[in-house]
Amino acid sequence: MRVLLVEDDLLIGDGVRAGLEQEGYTVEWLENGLDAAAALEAEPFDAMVLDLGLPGLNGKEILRALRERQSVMPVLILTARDTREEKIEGLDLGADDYLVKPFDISELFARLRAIIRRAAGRSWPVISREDLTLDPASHRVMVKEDEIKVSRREFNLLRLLLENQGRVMTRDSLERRLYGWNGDVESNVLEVHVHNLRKKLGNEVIQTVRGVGYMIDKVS
Amino acid sequence: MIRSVTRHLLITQISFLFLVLVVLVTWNYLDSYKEIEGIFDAQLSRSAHTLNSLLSFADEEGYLESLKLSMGSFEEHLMQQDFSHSYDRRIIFQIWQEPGGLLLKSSQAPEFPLTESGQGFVEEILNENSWRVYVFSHPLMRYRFYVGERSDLRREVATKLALRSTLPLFILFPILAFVIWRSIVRALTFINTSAKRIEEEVPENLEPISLEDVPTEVHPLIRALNGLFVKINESYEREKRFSADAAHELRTPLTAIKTQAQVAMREADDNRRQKALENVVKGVDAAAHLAEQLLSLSRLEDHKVVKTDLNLVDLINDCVDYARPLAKEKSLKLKTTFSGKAIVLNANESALWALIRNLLDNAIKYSTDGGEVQILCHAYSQEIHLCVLDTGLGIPELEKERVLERFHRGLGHKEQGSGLGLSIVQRVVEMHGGRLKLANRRDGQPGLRVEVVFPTQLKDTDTDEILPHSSTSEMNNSPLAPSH
Repeated sequence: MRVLLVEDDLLIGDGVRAGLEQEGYTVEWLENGLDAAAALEAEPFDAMVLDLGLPGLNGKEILRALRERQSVMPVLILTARDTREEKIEGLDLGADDYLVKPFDISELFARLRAIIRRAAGRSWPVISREDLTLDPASHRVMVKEDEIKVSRREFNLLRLLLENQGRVMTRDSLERRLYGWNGDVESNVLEVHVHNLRKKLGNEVIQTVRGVGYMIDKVS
Repeated sequence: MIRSVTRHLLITQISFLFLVLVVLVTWNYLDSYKEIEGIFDAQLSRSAHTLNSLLSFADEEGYLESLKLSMGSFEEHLMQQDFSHSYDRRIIFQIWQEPGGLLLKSSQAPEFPLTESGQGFVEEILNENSWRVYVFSHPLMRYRFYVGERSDLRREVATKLALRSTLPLFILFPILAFVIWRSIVRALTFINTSAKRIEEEVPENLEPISLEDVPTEVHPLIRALNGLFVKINESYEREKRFSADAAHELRTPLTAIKTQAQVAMREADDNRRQKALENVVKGVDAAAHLAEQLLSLSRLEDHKVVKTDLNLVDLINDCVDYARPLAKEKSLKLKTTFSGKAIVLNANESALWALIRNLLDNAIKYSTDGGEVQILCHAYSQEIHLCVLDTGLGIPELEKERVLERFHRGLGHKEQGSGLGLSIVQRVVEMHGGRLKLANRRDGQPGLRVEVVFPTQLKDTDTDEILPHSSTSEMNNSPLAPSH
């Protein structure tokens, strides 16, 4: 899961990034609105945590531009003003949820999970497909009653594919979402993760779409 | 100083009224006495003439004898002659013959002449009483007439007359006093009602009080109050805006501290936890700095500002010393140029200190490592120019208007700040009637040029220092490697 964090305050940005990384997210942190707008045009993200008071281009303008492009990306806004107008305006511009500073980091995680889940069309907090269940809150993967031990990358890869059931995820998009633009990705690292997951879950779950990427089929 | 308007008015009005009454009574008494004396004297002399006319038959045989016998009824007649109905006039008389001695006298008259005086009215003391005596003697006749009357009767009548004429006033006095008291109290009730209205209306909204239904005498007070309300409203609004801004801005470092602390709590890796904890400390520093800046800004909002003659050269040098460690971290040169040894400005010391510190801090913050910060201070005949030049990026055209806003933080730098620095600078400049100008450097180098102009009247002793004879000193040319 790759999250774009837009926050101009260095200490808050650093803290939220560190926290999100602890949660297993791949985080791209940008400090101003202009860079964020450019990144949103060019890169795939699964969610955005957006501070409203930004230098350059402010959060509302970024949000408006994003929604005008018909993007359904879940957006959580951070605001230092807890006035009703501010919250209403943010939500009406297309934010999925908001948090007022100072917030609790675990609340930020929970709200982020919730908006990602809703964007994927689920209201059940646990993602399941036949016998397989994945709990984003507790980071656990179960097959029937048994817990399957997976690494953080494997968990994220599985979550990405499960959140996008029935859709083909390209190699490029998966790599970017798992590693961000800073991570050095060795050419076969994605294959290694898929290989490990197949060993743990069985071969039939993750399908290879030759020359394109991977997908998990929707169960009708 | 009048403590109570009611009491003051009551005491002065009623005592004045009383004084008027006393004067009136005295006046009336003296006036009546004078009138009564005239009337009584006239009657006294008429009595003497009556006696005289009685004696016109004295030569006839047996007349005097019968007269002496009928003395009692004559006395009675004399007494009742005029208005002696209510007053016992106590008239006595003697008729002396010359020669021959006492011829006739009233029963109460003594055996000796009533007075030594020869003619007219005199005051005499007889039997410890004061008497008014009239002496009448005809030069062609052998008789001398003495008629006496008690004087205290006159005083009694005069007093009665005086009192009678002023009696209505005495009766009216309490009524008048009551009316005065009521009207004063009533007039003051208007003031009290106005005061009550103010009391009831004011705390909710500091709207101006209307002058309707308020006595004109109170209008100046109301106007003064309304003026005060406007001022209070302004400072109240300023205060409200300020605390809202302050509360809002304090959230940023608090959020940073909370986030970093929670990250540290969850972090298993020692190095990363250590880094998060260091960031907590940084966040606390940022909050402390913000609090300090807020405090100095709120002090500048205070209207009571003491100004003294300051030597800007000393002040700037002190600030430069203070900023030296900061500059050292970025290997910046700090350069000062002054137009003289003493540049005197009448200003508030702590405000000027805050201004120079903030300009210096900003210049150091936004200068690239290894650059230079220049401070120039020049005294001209009417103005003092203070310039701070840095080697940063300057301000983009887009941001020029926003940099002076409170809590605005510039784009494209990695510095933490409260965003209050330039607000403080601007406030200090306003306080001293100066001008603030932000522009990119004119010498072609990248960087910001902040110019502050203070108006001044230089003293005569300083005039020889107007011509800038540059005394440049260079400080802190540190070759240390950048620390970050």
